[in-house]
Amino acid sequence: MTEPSTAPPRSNRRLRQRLDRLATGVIAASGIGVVVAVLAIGVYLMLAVLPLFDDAEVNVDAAPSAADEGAIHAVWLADDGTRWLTRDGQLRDAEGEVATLATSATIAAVAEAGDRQPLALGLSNGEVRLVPRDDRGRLRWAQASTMRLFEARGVAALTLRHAAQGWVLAGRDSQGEVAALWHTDEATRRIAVPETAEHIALGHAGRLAMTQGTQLTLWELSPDGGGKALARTDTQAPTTALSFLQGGRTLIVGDAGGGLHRWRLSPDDAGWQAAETSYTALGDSAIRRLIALPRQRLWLALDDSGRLGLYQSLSGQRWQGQASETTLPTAVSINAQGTQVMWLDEAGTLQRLSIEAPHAAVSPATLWMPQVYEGHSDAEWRWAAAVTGDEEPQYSLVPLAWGTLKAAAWAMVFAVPLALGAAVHSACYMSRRQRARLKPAIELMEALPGVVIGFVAGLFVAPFVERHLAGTLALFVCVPLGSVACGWLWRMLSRRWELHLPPISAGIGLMVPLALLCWAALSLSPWLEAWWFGGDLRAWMHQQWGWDYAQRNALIVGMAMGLAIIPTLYSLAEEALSGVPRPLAEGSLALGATRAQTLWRVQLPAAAPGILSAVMIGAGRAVGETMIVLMVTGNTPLMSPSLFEGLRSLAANLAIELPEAAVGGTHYRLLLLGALLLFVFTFVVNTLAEMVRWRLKRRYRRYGGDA
Amino acid sequence: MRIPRVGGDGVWRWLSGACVALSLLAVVALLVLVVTRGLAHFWPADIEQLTLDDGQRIAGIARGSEANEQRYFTANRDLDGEVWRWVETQAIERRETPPELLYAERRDWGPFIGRLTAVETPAGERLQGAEAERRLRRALAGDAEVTTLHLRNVEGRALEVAFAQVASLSWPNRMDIGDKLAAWGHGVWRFLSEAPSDGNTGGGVWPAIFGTLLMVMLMSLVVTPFGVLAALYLNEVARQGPLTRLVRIAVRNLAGVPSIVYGVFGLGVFVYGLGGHLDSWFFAERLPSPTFGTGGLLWASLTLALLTLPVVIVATEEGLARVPVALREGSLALGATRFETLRRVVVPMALPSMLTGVILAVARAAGEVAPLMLVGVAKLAPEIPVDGEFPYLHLDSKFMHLGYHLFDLGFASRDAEAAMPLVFATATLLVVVIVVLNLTAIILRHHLRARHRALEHS
Amino acid sequence: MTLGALLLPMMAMAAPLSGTLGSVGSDTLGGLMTQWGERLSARHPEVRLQVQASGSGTAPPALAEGVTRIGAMSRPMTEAERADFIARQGHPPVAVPVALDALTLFVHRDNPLTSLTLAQVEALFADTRFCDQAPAIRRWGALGLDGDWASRPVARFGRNTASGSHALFKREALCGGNFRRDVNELPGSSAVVAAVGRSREAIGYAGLGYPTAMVKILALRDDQGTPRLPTHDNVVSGRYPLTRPLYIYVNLAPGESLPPLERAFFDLVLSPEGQAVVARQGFVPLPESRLATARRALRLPPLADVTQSSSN
Repeated sequence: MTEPSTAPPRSNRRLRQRLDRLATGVIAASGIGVVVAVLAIGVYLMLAVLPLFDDAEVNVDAAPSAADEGAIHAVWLADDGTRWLTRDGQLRDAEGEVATLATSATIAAVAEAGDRQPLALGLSNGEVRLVPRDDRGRLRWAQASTMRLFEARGVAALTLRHAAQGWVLAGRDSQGEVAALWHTDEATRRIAVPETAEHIALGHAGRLAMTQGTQLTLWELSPDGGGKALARTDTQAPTTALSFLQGGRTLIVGDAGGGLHRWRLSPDDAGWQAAETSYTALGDSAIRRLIALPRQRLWLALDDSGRLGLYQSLSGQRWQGQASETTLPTAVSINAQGTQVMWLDEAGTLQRLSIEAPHAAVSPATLWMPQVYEGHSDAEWRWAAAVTGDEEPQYSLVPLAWGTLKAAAWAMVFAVPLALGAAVHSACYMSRRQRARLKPAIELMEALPGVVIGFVAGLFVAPFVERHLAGTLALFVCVPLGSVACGWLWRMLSRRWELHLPPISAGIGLMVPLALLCWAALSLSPWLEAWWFGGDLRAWMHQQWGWDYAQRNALIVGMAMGLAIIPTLYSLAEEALSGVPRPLAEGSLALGATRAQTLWRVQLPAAAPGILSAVMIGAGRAVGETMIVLMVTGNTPLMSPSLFEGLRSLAANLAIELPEAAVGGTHYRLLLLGALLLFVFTFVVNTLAEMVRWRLKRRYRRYGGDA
Repeated sequence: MRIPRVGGDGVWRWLSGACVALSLLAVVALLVLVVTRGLAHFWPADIEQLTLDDGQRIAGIARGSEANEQRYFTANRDLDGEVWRWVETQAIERRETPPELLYAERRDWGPFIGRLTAVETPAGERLQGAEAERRLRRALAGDAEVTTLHLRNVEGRALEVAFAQVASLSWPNRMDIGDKLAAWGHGVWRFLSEAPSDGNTGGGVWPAIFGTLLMVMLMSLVVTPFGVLAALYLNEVARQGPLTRLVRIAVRNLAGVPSIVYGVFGLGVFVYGLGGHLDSWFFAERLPSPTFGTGGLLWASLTLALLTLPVVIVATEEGLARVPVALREGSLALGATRFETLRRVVVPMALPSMLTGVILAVARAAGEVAPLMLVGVAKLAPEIPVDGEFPYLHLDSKFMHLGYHLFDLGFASRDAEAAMPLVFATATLLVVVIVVLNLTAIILRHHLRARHRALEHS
Repeated sequence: MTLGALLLPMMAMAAPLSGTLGSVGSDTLGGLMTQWGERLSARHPEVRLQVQASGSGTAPPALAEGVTRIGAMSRPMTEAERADFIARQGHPPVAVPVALDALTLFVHRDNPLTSLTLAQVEALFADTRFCDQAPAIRRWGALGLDGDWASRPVARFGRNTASGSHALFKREALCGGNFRRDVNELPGSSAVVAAVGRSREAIGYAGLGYPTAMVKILALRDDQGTPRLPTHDNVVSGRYPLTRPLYIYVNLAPGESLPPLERAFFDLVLSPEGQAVVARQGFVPLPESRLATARRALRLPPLADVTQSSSN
């Protein structure tokens, strides 16, 4: 079959040898290339994930720069730091005055609600001006609306937040009296708050937090001009600074002893309650200022000694350092991304902070430990990483890891007995010819695409099982009993009447009786259900054990994914079993052991490592299977072990969420962390399995097997 | 564990036999379900005309029932606003199958069920009754021209449809079994040869078939040389030692890495990494519109090539291991170099097994969906990526894929119920493609083994 | 139809259009995009069309990365997404409303329930109580159903996080709160409807254009307590509480005009023919005034002019 080669001339010899070396090199290179490919996947994922755990960095840079005389009196600073508004209403830049606010009063307080949102000015005559911004973020001074907050005294402090249908402004006068305005397109309603406060902060939906000494009060304002106190508590030390974080549901309180605390507004049946957690303190000096940043629930704390800290609501302190001046900020500006913070202090110095903490919300604790999220009262593991608004992202990988393992475990519960049984049958009870026929059938099974299995299981089997739950569960009892009964019947028949039944394999022979049995079980189950479980097994389960049944559940995933991994398991287990050296089994049989004894005591123990590696590889498959889980489960990130509830796996989560994640963002990198976890898991499992297999082969060879 | 002392044909034999039977049964049931439903989709079912006890008339195709209600597919979304009707069984007074009821698939608004009243010709004639039908049949056959059809539903509401809007038209109640078979064949052919229409809920899957084929072809172009070379290294070149063990473990790992992780890798490294750079070097003028910086045919093929590499390696290795050592030794003894032995003796003998590997890889790739969702598959890309425009083969374009199309039809089409038969049809096609590929590989391997056995004994 | 016929010769006069029109984004808009695409290809056979539709969330990253120039979204971009886009592209994206939609609540057709209040919707779907303080609803009995239904558990279905329906439902119906973890997240609107149709205890939300024979649409009670079905009128007038415009975002620098291909696409989408597609897909076409505003924003000729000039 090889073409007869003409005898090569001697002069070609060097060329031939060179060619030989070259070819060997190329071939070896591609062999190594496979190793490189595996490493490349791991390394890429690792590199993409590492930035998640980078330390936050804050660069503090003080510049006496643009300061002219007026900067000392600045109350507001533009985003780029080039323009500021002075106490007496002059808008200035480094060259001089740009515009003047038409008022005789001075500006005592300024409040902002974020990028492209209006600016509120509190005046010394008790008035408030709301200056809108246009689409590009430029202030429209001419369109400012004027409202009255206080009659007698001027505004000393002011906060502003967007709420239903408009804007809420809350202010405090120099005597500590508090009042608020709810400003909508139709009307502006003034809400008098009968409290005195040193510090105020506005949360979402008109929640107003006030402190006076050690007392912390929470009010609810409403658009119709009303308001009521929700909660009143005492803090350990007198409060010196107060701020709501992005979203307005978490309140940060700084006290005179340097303590930093988080208060959550968590709803439960009893109404609003405040719950407290503490952060790592900066020092023991009083906290002077808290600045909430517009992204990731980050905030800055500045204390009396000029210590500066960067914190995240859940992951805590991310950075601590020293601001160069100890004087208080008078006008603060924050860019839309929350990466640049600037302030002018009382000395007219411009402080620039560049904050690099793109993944500050991720820490080992937020990933793996239960957290109390906004709106919840208990610590929970939750995954909801894709957020579109101001909601708090929930970054716990635990529910996903749980779902992955749960799906794989239930799949193994279905697949391992079936596949091992089939392997045992074909290795021990089938003739060589029968085996040769069965193998291609199983290989075809392996080739069935996950998307087809998933679609049939998700859109056809899941609703079917929901309607015929009792019947489906009955199958698990009927099939083993039925098949043993069939065997008994077969032997009785062949003995009693000495029939010469064709020597077909039990495996093939059982297909028709089993199909009939399944059909019978399914059609009889309604009666069974009516008689035994009061007509509705699901209701009965709920009453008896409190189990709920979800249509898309682990049972269906287990069956569907089990079907998908049976072929892999079968092939490997069959290989291990048929590789057991023949002399071992023959010896056992010759000594008088039955086939079953030989199987259990000789063949299975000998093949055990191979079977173990088959199970490991099968588990690796099940963990990474995507389409079946995606289509069959409801992708619910639950943490229940119940067979009848859904789950969300890492792999399906990747398929759903990766296309929407902004490249390089926290969500994107967390998804890649999920991919890395999958990779590492399968890497470890497969490597171990391969080593077991290798050892086993060596052992068989010693016993004279042919594997 | 105490083992029950039973004879050789004990409980275990039957229990383990049940495992084989159950596994096979599950697969057979799955295949039968998919294939029967898929193929039944093209069968022109009879249209029933129902007269209800309140005098209402309904025409539709029976599609399942529940308790005391029957579900009918009544089409005519533009007239009724819905395409389904539930009818209480006892409310039905009369059931007929009038021969003149027609079923038309339109390019807009989906199917129509009703009667033909007249047709208009380009000459402005208006033909009615039997003449209209004759003319329409000729027009459908391409022998005559018709501009507009005047139709009426069973309730008598009139409707005009431009002939160009009609994708197909038939009178199912009038068909005999031969006609129906022919119509079934025609339906299958249209499914295979046409592009999707009506928001992916009608028409065929040709772009998806082509996209799948093209993608796996490109993939096999990449995976074959690398897979074969790596197998040659493992089996022929390297000395068996720690390094080959390392490579074997790597192969095992490549086979075990979840496919979605390949997708992630492809997205990060090929699409955003390589693609982004290619764009900034060669296609800077088109930025910000990306050329290779977005998922596409090339990146999908490369990703799947990586994914199927172990399949080719394992199959090739198996083939190489079966080449008798004597042949190699003979070749070397005659003075051939190792490369020459490989090229002239070993590789030709192992060629069929390499082919087997490539076919298995193709089968695997054809059914793989998860990684493609990340690296370039599209819901709709009706134009196939090969055309007369330079560079003829558009490696940067997105493509449709049978597996993804199946997913999309099942989960994102407009009317999930109406799309269900189409989903089964697509699944059937996918299963048939994959089964055929696998059978080819199995048969090939069978012959190969027979040949080697013959060689060993000779 | 007649207008389409009039438009055609005018379009044909221009130089033949060619090139690739790629779109990434909303699954809700997926059907519309494919239909518009099919129509555009019918007019200009040289045009290649590629539609990816895995959820609104996929559009902003793709637009910001420059992976696509057209992104279909079933919700407006958030501030953060907009800021990201501006940071990368230097200018804000242009949002073009193309149709109206309503978030619709579906139940199985056997379910006797006909309407819900927004507070009940939150109590059904949310873990948090950001809108109202109603206790969680776990059984259909809590919604006033009796008999068999009273003890039946509620199975909840919804869209995955990438979808605009998910984000908008979260914002509007849950006031930004968190979904219960046992709300099934399915990767397509029709999958939600199909799942509801196959489970008697189910309730699910999806876009308007997906009803099937197996499900029933629930009315939502407005502020006055009047049940409102998401009909054409109720959606256009906004009386149905969960209405929303569907958008196509374009990467268009201020002062620049659209490339010819995109121009042709939007000309089609914002024409009576394109809006007829909207109606056909079960969504609600834009009212004339909004259509005119959208055309002006893209510097497309007003519709009246088109009909006049082509009939001349």
